[in-house]
Amino acid sequence: MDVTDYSATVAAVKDCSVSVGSCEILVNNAGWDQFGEFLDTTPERWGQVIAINLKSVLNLCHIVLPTLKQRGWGRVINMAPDAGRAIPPGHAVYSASKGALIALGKSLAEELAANDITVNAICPGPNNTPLLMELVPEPGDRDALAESNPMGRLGVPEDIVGLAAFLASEESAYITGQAISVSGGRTTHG
Amino acid sequence: MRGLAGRKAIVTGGGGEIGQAISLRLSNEGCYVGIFDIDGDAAANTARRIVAARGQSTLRWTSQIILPPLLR
Repeated sequence: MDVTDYSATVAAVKDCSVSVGSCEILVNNAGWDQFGEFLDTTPERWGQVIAINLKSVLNLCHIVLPTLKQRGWGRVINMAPDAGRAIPPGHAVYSASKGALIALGKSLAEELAANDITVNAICPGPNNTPLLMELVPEPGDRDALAESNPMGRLGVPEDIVGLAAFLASEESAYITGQAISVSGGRTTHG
Repeated sequence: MRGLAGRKAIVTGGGGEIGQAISLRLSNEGCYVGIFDIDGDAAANTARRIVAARGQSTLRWTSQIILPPLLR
């Protein structure tokens, strides 16, 4: 299903609701990018990147949050890689869209805090995923990226899941509007 | 993790590596997980891998895949 399509997303969320009950934890993890200097990109490409990385999150939040408010409990976790703060070259629009997620989350966090809904961002550093293979195709370049990390390696998905579970749980009830880096120390500011 | 058992979660991009890992962890914590992905095969793969790992077989198949909490 296509989370950039509002109507399709309404239908999918409704399907979930009918099957098991309304959503309480929303993990906005879908994302996409293609490496390229900004001046080599096109408005069509910006549209794709912004639709997948930002509009999908607006869609899901707009569809799911009314139920969370009604329930008086909820968790929203946005995946906003450190590219949204550390701003690597060749990812201008991607970085802009991910930075927007951090700003969106902080604003929503304040709007929804009184409803016991928390909104936080997980900010992974470079992770050893198929997307990274696409964005950094040369193995030597990926090795260099790993070696330059304070911990000497790239991240793996398992590095992220503990924080995701924590932010989804009751343990993080008083934490909202935060953007937390999971990058082996690569990003230590913001 | 306290307060996760029985919760209903949606993970977008649940067919990708990070989305799959998060889906598995939430499922392990006792959440129902709706896996949303533009690639239906990738979403199904996440579901299959979780089932293979944990032996749960009662998946719901709709326009997206909803995983029940895993058996502990």
